Amino acid sequence: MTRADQIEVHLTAGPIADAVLRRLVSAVAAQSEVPIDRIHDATLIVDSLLGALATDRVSAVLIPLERGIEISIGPLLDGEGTRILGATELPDLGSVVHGLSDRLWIDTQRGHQEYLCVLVGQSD
Amino acid sequence: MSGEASVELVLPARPESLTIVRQVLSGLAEAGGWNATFLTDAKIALSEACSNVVVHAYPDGTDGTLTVVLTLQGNDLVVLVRDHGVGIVPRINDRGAGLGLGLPLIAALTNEVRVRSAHDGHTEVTMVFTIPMNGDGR
Repeated sequence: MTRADQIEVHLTAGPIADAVLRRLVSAVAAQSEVPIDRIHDATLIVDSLLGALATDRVSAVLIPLERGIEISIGPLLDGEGTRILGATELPDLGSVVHGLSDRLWIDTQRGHQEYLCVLVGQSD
Repeated sequence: MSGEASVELVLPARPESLTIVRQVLSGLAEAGGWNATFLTDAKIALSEACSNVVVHAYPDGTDGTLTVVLTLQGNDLVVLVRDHGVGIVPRINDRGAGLGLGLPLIAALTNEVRVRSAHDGHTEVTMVFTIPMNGDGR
């Protein structure tokens, strides 16, 4: 399902994705009036996820919410969402993504592909 | 960065999307180490092209999308801006008409600009810039 206010991005992985996606998430979150500390959380989540991706291209959908932002990374191969989350685990701290998000789930309902989804802030 | 890399964005054709597009361009500049003067010129040209879509492509107030594709090809930045509405009226050589300074300004800031209107209603503006090496002026 697509929303009229959603933003799709497809980009080359590596330094470009790091710089572009961080700014993109910050801008969308700021427009959604996400508090500044939560914008920082969202960028840390993006950095962590990008660091764990094992593909040449990155696709994401950003959905602005009322004081929140939903970030979906994908489509991913089957099982890739779980692997990525595992790769973001830090010794003694657990998953950075899990710790900083308000909701975290793997969506398998969009066709036959999976999406790793994160909510930061409030949902609509 | 070398070789070809790209960023494709599909956004709502709304004024607030212009800020987002400019931030994405700044991200590319950060990754590529572009100089500030070039980034400013590219932002102005990209903003003008996107503004044309926001203002002119969906005149009946319906929701529509703005697609922006930024491709790095060697030392060139190729920027494509596309709408899926009724399009815009290109008047590159007519500085006084309709779209104000938009397209003439884009033409002045880019190495090359192409405008293509398709039968299905969408319009594509393609802009080509040469990215100066650090220390190069424009």
